[in-house]
Amino acid sequence: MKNILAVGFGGMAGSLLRMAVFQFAGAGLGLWLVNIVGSFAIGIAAARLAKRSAETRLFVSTGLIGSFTSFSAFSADWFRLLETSLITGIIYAFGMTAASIAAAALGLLAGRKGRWND
Amino acid sequence: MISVAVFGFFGAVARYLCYMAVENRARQPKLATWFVNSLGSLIIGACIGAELPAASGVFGFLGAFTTFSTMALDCVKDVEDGRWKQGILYISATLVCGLLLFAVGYSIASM
Repeated sequence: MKNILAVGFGGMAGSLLRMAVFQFAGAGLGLWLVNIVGSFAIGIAAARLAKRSAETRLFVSTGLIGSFTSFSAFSADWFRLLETSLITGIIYAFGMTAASIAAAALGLLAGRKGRWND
Repeated sequence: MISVAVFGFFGAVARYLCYMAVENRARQPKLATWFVNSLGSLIIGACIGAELPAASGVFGFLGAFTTFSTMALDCVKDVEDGRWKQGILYISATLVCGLLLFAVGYSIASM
């Protein structure tokens, strides 16, 4: 039950943050921002929170960051772009995926190198 | 605002329950991420096809139910462990299934 609440409240905070970014940057650019920033953050969290309690990891990684980023909106945007231009759609999908994977890798490296939390 | 918070709560919890269900059976959390992203894409396709208003709670639920960051991190871990093929297969399967299922949901709902 504690785990479920940790995920749920993390998801609540992550969703509100995502909505704030969308209102600030617009839904199109906003999705790039949340997915890249969120992937970087989950890399840091994976490196820094390994020894923390299960609730902490569930709140931060599964709840907060997992809900801050979104895949369903990505599928929707990708589909719409493909309808207008095949090339643009493919570049969009590969671009966001590659950028997020690179961000997660950098976050993992940064989290392992940093000593600001021990 | 309240709707985003409430549906975000339940979207995240639903995703977590999917992780639990898969982990108990297969010890492969990536399968759960693939599953929530595929199912979420199918449902959002149907919602957009049915022209549900953007403010309806289901979009808030799906935004939290699906995830991009976990997918990216899973792929990095695969590559780090030398499982290049598995990582590429996982990402490709997620992208292709997401797109196809979105199209299926969209077509059915807008018929």
